[in-house]
Amino acid sequence: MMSKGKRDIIVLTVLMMLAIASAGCSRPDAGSAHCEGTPHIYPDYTDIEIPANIAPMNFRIEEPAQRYLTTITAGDKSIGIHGKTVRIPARKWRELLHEADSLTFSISIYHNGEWHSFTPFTMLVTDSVDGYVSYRLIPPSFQQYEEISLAQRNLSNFREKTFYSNTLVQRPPKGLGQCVNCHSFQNYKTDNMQFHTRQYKGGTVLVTDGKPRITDIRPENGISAGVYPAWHPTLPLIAYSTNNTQQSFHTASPNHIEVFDVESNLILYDVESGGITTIQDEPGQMECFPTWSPDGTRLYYVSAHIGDEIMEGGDIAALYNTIRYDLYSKTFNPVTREWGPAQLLYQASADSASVTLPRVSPDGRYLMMARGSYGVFQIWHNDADLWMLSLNDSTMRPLSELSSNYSESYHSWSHDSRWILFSSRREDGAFTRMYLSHLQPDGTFSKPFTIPQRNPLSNTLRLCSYNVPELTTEPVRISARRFARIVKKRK
Amino acid sequence: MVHASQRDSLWFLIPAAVLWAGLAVFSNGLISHLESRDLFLFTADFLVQKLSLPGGLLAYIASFLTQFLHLPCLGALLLALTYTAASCYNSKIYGIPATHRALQLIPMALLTAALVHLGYMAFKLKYTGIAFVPALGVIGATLATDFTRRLNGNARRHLWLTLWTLAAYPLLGFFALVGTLSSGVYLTVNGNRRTRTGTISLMVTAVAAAPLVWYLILGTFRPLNGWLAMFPEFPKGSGITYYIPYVLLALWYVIAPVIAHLLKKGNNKERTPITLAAIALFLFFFWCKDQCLNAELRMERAFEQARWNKITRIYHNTSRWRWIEPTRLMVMYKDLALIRQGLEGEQAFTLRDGSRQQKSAVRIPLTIQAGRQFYLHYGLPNYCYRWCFETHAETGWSYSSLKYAARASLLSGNLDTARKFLSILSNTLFYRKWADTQLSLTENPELIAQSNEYKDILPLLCQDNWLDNDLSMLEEFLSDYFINRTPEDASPEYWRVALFLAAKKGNPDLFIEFYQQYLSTNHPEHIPTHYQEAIILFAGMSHNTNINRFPFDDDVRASYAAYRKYLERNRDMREPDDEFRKYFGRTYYYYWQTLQYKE
Repeated sequence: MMSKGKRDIIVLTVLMMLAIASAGCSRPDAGSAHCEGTPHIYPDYTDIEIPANIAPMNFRIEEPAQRYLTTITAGDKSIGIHGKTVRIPARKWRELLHEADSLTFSISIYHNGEWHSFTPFTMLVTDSVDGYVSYRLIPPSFQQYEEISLAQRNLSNFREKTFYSNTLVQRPPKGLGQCVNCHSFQNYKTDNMQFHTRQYKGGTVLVTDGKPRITDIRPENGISAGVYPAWHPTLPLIAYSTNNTQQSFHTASPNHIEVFDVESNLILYDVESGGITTIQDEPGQMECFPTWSPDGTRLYYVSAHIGDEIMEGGDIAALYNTIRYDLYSKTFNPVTREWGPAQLLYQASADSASVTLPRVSPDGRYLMMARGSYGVFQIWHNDADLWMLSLNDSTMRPLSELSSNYSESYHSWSHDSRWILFSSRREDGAFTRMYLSHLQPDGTFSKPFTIPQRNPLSNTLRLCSYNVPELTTEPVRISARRFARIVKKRK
Repeated sequence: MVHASQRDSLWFLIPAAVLWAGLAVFSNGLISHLESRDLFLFTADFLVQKLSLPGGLLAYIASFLTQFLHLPCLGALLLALTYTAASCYNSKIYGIPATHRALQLIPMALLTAALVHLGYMAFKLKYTGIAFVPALGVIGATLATDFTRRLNGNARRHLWLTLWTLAAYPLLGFFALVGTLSSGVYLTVNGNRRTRTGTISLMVTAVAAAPLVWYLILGTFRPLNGWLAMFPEFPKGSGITYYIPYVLLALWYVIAPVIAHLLKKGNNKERTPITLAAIALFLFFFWCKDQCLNAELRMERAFEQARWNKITRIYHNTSRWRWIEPTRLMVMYKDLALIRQGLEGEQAFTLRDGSRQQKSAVRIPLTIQAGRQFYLHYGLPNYCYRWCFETHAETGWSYSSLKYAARASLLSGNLDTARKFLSILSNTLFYRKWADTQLSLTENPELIAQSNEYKDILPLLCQDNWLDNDLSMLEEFLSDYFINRTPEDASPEYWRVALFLAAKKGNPDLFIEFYQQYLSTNHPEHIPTHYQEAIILFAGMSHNTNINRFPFDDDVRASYAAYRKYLERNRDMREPDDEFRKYFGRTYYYYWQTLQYKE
């Protein structure tokens, strides 16, 4: 039996604790101290433009404090969120997005016995972005690989769905693995799409009118099977590069690895007939990364001249940093399927540079590409940045607003040309993450931001790279199981 | 007077103590290695990632426990206690009679055998927590039977069996199915004939259907592998013996109710000594007796602790036995340890050389075994970084990979990348402190040069960039790198290592060239004995009349004279024999002569 005295002490203690707790839970008022500048938050979402359909922009406040309060205001509506990690409830987030064109984030921290408020920052709510992004999730390795999957993220929420994984097929025989790569869609839709499986059960998984099959796209006496794909925007045609790719390792460069082609050319695959024709195979040139103009009447690609030294038997591995790719295009007649001559659009090599991954905006105004000092696999080059060619006036400019000290490489325009999604290693130099940026009327881009995650620290803790991010307006409807069944049937 | 319950406790206590001692003494290298190849993070994402595959909870708890193997003695204790708990719970639930006490130890013996038999497969394991997964799995399976036992009425029991299978499968994988089978067999054996058919049908259906149901829900695993989720997967070609303890363990849990039932009914003749002897024999057969592997694993641990002295001691203690020829990895550990102690020119060739093949059905390249360690310590952080990633792609991230990736990034000046790995290690229990120290180096990179961890590596750091590929041949690549790619402004430490590797190559011209560089950069007060032996040997071969100019020690002059005399007396010696070894086994002459014979 507890004595009365003891009970009183317990009651008093509880009351005191409640009083202390309620004092601690006090809110910042108008008299709270002001901190200079905007708060440090991770990811950096301060003063950015966001799509009207984006998932809650969760973040973490990187300021030392005992308590945190974030108030998000949109028009007359506002919500308050306590805690260092700001996880915004999805329903309330959607309401805020619908309420106004701008969200204001006011962050207050309770530190050393008083509340401090930072200068608020804003997020401008602009055009919606395509609803889905597909990517290859890959533990970044050099030669070995084990688990690779193709996944799709719904940008309006945090749902990530795997639509193919090599772990779903039988265990490969000893010494073999199964690589998965190069997912590609026709005109932002998923009814016509493709990806490759390599080595074990290797082939190209083709989806035409929603029906999947696996096939071998390999020209007779060709360099390789079709590698980097580009679906024609309207016709059942896919342009591919075929490549003989090798890799070697830097002993001291921060780039770590060098991936380079020793030969490559371009082919055209007819999805209906299975016919393969050559697009471009010029002696002394290596063509790669084809991409179509939005109307399908022109094919852009990059091509490198193989120097005399290499042609005369020089070691390409020793001369890797002399190989530079220029931007070319060829006209295409969709009716007769005839090609025009190759036309040099931008001679990067003249500026001691090399361009890869050309992509034309769907409105036909711009062509974006990755540019570095040499080579074609810019993902491994820290100096790679995005550049943009205006197709109206042929002016070329570096997209310094999107650049960082690390590699910026793969990029995908939204179907309405309002957004660009690109991959960058800016966060840590090792793992590729996806960033979105809004195209301004003057052809510049807004401050890029990383795709929001349910847990804002996921980007730090997830030890996979997001490879080849591709926007689509609809989800991939075929399940991973069905794709796996198709691949398993491959002899 | 000892009561029955006290006797029961003692019965498990003694084997537990023996197991603890056995693991702590004979398998501490393995325990430490398993920990270094594992990873547990105190984050919600880590839990979610584990739970995305069948058996995820088991993997999560096993990884949590594996982190305590960081302290091998504590780890061995934890393993012994877990295995004992599995055995104890098993005998209690299935009711193995006291007259057959030894049978009560079977789960413990099988779990131990599964662990200590791993051998070189410890480098190739594709999933984490292997030391704890089977033990926790069978405890889970026993739990199913325990609950089944406590329920009244067949309808309730059948409902429980169905629910257990469906709900426990995503958490325990294969072991949930073992639990279902075990409970089903228990009900069949102890139930009446009327309900047997129903129980068996339900059990088989549940086991067959649960993985398929979850495959349809999760779709994250191969359907055929569904029944074996969390059952270890060894590389192809590794043979079936690795699977035997696991198969027997699962089988034991399925048939234990039958055995217990038969023993209760039959004559209770005491057979404990025979069974105990059989268990001991079984364990002896499965316990990995590869002294070289044990030495490699212990050297690996000492290497991580920078206990160079201990590495040479382990090497010496292992290689002194005639019948134990060291492996190349052991030799490499020993050489680097001597270099770190500055004793390579004095002791490297007094210790026996060797190149014994791995006793493994699947060859594990040295780059996978220890590539990252050696590349980092020989000043090639890029290659260390590469092998961290290659190993990770094959077997997943581990404390060790993260640590080396962070170190390599620090040394290469990639501070953002180093921060990435260190911030992950900050979420661990035993590496948090280390990660915090290293994080402070990323803020003050000028302190890296003063850090004990890096100060010996920095003088060797590769500064010149070119493209190369080691083709997974660690030793050859490092040797060629130091000998053929000497930078113009190489440090005295670099020349020390290069001279040592040139001595190992046994090329007289190369050695003499490097020796001159070594002298002019290091200005040694006393020339290490092995280098004196090499110079006197090579000078003698070229009939160099100026030998007397060199400041040879009297001992070296005497041993060389004896060596020449021995060779003249034994002109027909085809290969270095025992007698030659007896007299010259601790000299460079013996090493060189052996090298000539091999070539």
